[in-house]
Amino acid sequence: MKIASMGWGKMALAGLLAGFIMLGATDPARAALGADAKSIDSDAAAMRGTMSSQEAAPTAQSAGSYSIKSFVTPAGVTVREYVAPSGAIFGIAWQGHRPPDLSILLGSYYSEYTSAEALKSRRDMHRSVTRGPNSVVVMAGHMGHVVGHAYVASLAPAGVDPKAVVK
Amino acid sequence: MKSLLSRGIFLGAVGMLTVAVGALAQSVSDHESFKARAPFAHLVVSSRAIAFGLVKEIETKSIKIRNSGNLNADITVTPPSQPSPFSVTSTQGPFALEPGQVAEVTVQFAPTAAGRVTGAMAIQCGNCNTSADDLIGIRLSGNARTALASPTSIVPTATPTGSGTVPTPTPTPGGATSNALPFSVNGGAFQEADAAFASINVCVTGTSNCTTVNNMLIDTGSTGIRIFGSQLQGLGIAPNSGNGGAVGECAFFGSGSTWGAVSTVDLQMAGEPTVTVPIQVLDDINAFAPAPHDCTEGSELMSSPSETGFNGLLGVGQDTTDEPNIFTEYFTCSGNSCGVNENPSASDVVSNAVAQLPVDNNGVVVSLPAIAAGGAGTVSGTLYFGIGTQSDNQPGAVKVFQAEADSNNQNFLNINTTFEGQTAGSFFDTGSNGLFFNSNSITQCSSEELDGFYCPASTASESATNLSVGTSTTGSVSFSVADAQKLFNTNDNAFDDLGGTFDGGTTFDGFDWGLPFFFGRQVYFGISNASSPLGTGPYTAY
Repeated sequence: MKIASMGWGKMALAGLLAGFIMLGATDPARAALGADAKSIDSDAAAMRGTMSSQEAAPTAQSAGSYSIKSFVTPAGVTVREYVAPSGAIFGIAWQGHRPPDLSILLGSYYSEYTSAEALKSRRDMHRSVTRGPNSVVVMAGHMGHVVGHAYVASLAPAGVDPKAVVK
Repeated sequence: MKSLLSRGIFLGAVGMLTVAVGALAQSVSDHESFKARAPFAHLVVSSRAIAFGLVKEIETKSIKIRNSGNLNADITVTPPSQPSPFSVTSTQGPFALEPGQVAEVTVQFAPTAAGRVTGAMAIQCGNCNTSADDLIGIRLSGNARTALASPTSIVPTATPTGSGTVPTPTPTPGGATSNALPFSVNGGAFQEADAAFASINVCVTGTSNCTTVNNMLIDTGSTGIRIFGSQLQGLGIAPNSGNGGAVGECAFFGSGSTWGAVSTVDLQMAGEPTVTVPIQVLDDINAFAPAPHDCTEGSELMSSPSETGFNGLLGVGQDTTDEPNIFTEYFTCSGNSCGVNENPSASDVVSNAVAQLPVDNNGVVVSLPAIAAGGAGTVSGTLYFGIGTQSDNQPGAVKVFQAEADSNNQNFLNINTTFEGQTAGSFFDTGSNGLFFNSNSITQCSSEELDGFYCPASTASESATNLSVGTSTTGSVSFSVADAQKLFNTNDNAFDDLGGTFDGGTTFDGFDWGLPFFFGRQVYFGISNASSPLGTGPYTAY
């Protein structure tokens, strides 16, 4: 085995574990991925609160059958959230000197992310892919320049491939 | 004194013979008679023969050469013809030996069969005063009861590391430095593909308590030295104290973060003088406070050598520090509790060890030979310290790509690359084990295990254009991307055609020139604000 990877058997176990934990997920108003667009403002507010003071008004842009709202954290991390017409956030992406607080941005999916992550046995330096039962979290880069994205494919609008658009 | 002590321990560990300084001084006494003449170079060697005797393990011995003239001597070491159980593990040059300076020439004996064996090598001086100095032959001999190495394990290159041995620094007290750190792309302890490993020597500051850490991943994509605590256990290194507690640090990388104490240690790389520098001790043995939420909220911890494939990171990137509050976060820890410290003392900030060197401090050169498509088992390379500071790190005709110098800019230390008609930030990173870029045309691997790698049915021939930041320099790079599944199915460890997506997408938005880029090249990394014949860093040139 030459690369970071996770066997199928471990994946299945991760799914079971994550399923259990998700039953206990709470506070959807603060949850980003999987929550509705209103939570973006609270995400931005929450992340400001965890760091130093700085304005971070979300800006919106239309992109066909979904929309993108973005904000910048005081640490200079650009965060984009991908919103389906239903209002559900199906993807998030980030870019900056360091990663943003995923315990906020992944919302109820943070648990399945950490569960799947804990079962990994290998890691390469550049890139990490973590698949939960519902979500995919990808991060890459090097010291000083990190990028990443996460999506829940089942929440994406019909005809939209989240793997292609969320970045 | 402390550096001599620490070197003594290290040399002992690899079985190197150190010639008594007194004997050397006597043998060079004849240089007095040349004093009044015009500038000249004159070479004196401490011995014309190296006899290993009967060995029970692979051994290393050395002789010293001294320039007793008053002009730089142009030295080339001609190694024994290969195949041979004898190989030269120190710099072969050509290099300049300054007047009065001493260089050590180190030879490894790795017998591939039982019995006595002899060989010969030579030290050439291109501009020496007497013809007797032009070519100095050195006889080699050794004996073994059994073979200690397989014939294929000795790689006849400029800086062979041998099989299972520690690359040998060649410290030369009072003499010239060896700025060449050999490294090997050999899979390491965990069969890592395209990973460049070197060894360095770590000592408790001011003492002779030292250890050699091998499988240090050479990482031009980061700054600072980070070593798993399990590799330093028992050495007696303690966390630095600052701000009323122990200094902790979190550093963020592409695939995760590192957590542990900051400790100032004495560090020795190749034959360079010892530098005292703060490093991060990655806590894989629960010897330090647990990682605080700030460190784990957005990424995953790199937790052990077996998970990451390396014992530590030799971060030799273009920055002078690891940028507290921007790239990293510092903490003050008491017991299991850590609080953010936004103003760590400069003496507690993990910094670029190369920038601390007395002479070869303006950058590094990564040198790797070309390899065949389809892979190679083991490839030896050299990391040179300094750019244009010694005869072995003089840049040839290269293009200089200036990197973004503003640490507040999201593109900090990146250049730009155009691929498939789009332009985005890019970087040259020996710590990445592939060429990573998003393509809308190359087929990704279908297996979950190879998630993110490319598996084209036939090898893809691609081209991208690198763009300097703030200057007009551009350069096209041709490269290949082969089927990663087929590459991983071989027993090889080095590939120049391994590629994958940058961040899982299909539209180009960044280019990571990982280790495959470095085969067949000499790549120069200029440290920020340091001047060199190639200009002022940060830059990458090749």
